[in-house]
Amino acid sequence: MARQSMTTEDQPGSEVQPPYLRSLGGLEQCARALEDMLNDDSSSQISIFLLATDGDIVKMIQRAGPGVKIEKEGRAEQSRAVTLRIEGSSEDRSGRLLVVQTDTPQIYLAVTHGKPLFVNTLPSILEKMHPYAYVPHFTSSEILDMLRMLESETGLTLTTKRITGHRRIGKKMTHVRKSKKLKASADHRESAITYTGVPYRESIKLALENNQWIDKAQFVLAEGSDVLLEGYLSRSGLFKFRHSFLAFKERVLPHVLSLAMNKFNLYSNRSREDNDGKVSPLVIKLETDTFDDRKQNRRFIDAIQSMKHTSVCTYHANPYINMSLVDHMDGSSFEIWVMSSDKITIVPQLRTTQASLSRLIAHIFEKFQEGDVVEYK
Amino acid sequence: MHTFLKSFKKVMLLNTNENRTAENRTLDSIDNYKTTLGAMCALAYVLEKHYGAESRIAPVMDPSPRNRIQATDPVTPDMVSEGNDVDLVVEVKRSLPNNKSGQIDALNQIRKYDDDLTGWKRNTRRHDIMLMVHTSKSAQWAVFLGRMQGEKKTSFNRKVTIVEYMRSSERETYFQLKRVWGKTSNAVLNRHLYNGIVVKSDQIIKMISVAKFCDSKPDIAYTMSILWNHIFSSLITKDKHWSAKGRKAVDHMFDLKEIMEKLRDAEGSFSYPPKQAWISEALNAFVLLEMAERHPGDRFLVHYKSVRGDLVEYFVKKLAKSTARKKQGHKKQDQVGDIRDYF
Repeated sequence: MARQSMTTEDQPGSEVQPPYLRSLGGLEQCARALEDMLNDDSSSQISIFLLATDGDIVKMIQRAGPGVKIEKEGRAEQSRAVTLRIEGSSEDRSGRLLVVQTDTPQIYLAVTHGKPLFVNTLPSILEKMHPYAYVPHFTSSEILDMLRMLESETGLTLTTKRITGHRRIGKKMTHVRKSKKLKASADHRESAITYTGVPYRESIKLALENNQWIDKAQFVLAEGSDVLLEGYLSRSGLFKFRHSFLAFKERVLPHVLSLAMNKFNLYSNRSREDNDGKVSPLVIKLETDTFDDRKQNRRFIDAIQSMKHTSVCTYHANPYINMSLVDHMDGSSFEIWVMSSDKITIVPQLRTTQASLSRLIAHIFEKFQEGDVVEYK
Repeated sequence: MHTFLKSFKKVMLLNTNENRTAENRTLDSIDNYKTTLGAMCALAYVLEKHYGAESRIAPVMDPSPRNRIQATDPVTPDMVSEGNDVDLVVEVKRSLPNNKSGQIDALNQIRKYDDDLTGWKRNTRRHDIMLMVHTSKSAQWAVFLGRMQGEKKTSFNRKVTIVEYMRSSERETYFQLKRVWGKTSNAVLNRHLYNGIVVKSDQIIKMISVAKFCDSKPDIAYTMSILWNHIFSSLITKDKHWSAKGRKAVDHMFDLKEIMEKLRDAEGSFSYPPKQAWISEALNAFVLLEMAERHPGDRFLVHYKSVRGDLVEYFVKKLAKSTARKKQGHKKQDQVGDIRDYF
């Protein structure tokens, strides 16, 4: 049975909230409440962020600032849940959020039925928990696997309503005013290309053939003409559902949690100061010999230099790359090496947090190229 | 007006070119420094892998009273390695001086290791001397040592060998070590070194990511970048970082001793703590660039924030500008310390 602490929300006069916000008995109870809500009201939409932390979730939430108030807290067996009220700058940007622990104890789901404007404010609120908690990112191939799994496991038909891919473009050449000279702009533009109304395999194939990475996938899971679930998956760890959540929760969520947990484990304990000076590099293995083309060196360096809240120095740019980076979000620092055509090696230095490592890798994937993150051997 | 604009543009262009040259010179100097460190790591890696050797950068050792060059003061070879049937004192050289006295000094630097040194970790009784020389100067060194021995102007009681090193990048970046003169006592190592030993940089990435200094003073911009990116960052709390996110300056008071301690913490099994004088000089350079303020008792209030663009480039440009200002007579009187004619 869930233990709940009484808060202001239980007092007379409080507005009535959907049952999922009161389901502090763990993920199962929350999922049932969400399913009932989505089944009852076809216009309802839930948004879910994953949150990774090995700390006390309540303390993490308290870091999020005065606009975030804990309304209820509950604990059932292994699972912990907290309901939050977030006061934004306007009514549309305010709302409630349930943070519930999953079977994978370090991974939480932050669930809301709030309006899009409120959902849009959540990344910046969740970011305030950095580096003690962070939202795991996913890759194009992981998003693709989730879609594939949902279709094959349910035996239903999955079509994409919209797939947003981005193509990484090099420096844009612009004419300098009053002269005919071309100048490279420092800005890396990315073109957003969407594919609509085609089977997901085809749209993703088209995107990948065009050297794009998948950013978001909006899809419909249907049995004949009956739409059973409308969903949205994004690399930035935001998932949205309409009509139903259960199919995803039962068939795909365990895989998503395992992906998030693998990343969590892979990025943990890399700090040299917490591990008796031990050096624990990670390698991003690229599918192609990207760095055979020396122009990619410049592109990679520009990509790293474009990472927000960092200071970067490039000790060597060509033919091999050696850079050093400090993340001013928490003081994590790294040495970055490219010494072969298909590998980027990240060597964590004295301080390195999981959140910062996750941020750096997500940035490289987004601005340069995706790859498999593996242990250095 | 037109002439003024023209000369203004010319001055600006000259300044830019000067900055560019200083920047390239700094980057070359850092590259040379890192290549030398890389070559030492490559040798240490080979000796550990094949001969179980433990290597140290710049250990302090005591000479015997019979030392022909330096019999009283301790000696500090660039590196020593003690393994199974391989015991080496290694001196690293990037160049050979052009003048005679410089060459004799360089030779004496090697000869002082031709002695029964104490300070070994294992029970090392007799060692060889290895001179690691950059490939661009290895032939000169081989001719020089050969001539000195041939003309009986010098002699060694221990085996001496010259091993040239180079870094090369094709599909992968690697270091090559090749014996070009003399021999070591270990026949197998001799043969391998003669054929040339190739070490992929990837194999020594852990070592080269930790070994940031050797017993030779690096470019000041390099030392500043290490302090900025790795030492200051880890001495400021995560929460302080978070509240500023690099956008606002975190004003943090650092103690020179605390910095030296952190630098020692940052050492690996094969690395060398930089000299306090280098760190002190780098801290004074931050003062010169108005990125820090000097306080009594070797304390420095550093205004720590993110730097846009490339950090080394930024330091070089600002140091050049500051030096130029100084030359023009706008001397900063306060807390400049011992930055002298950096450029």
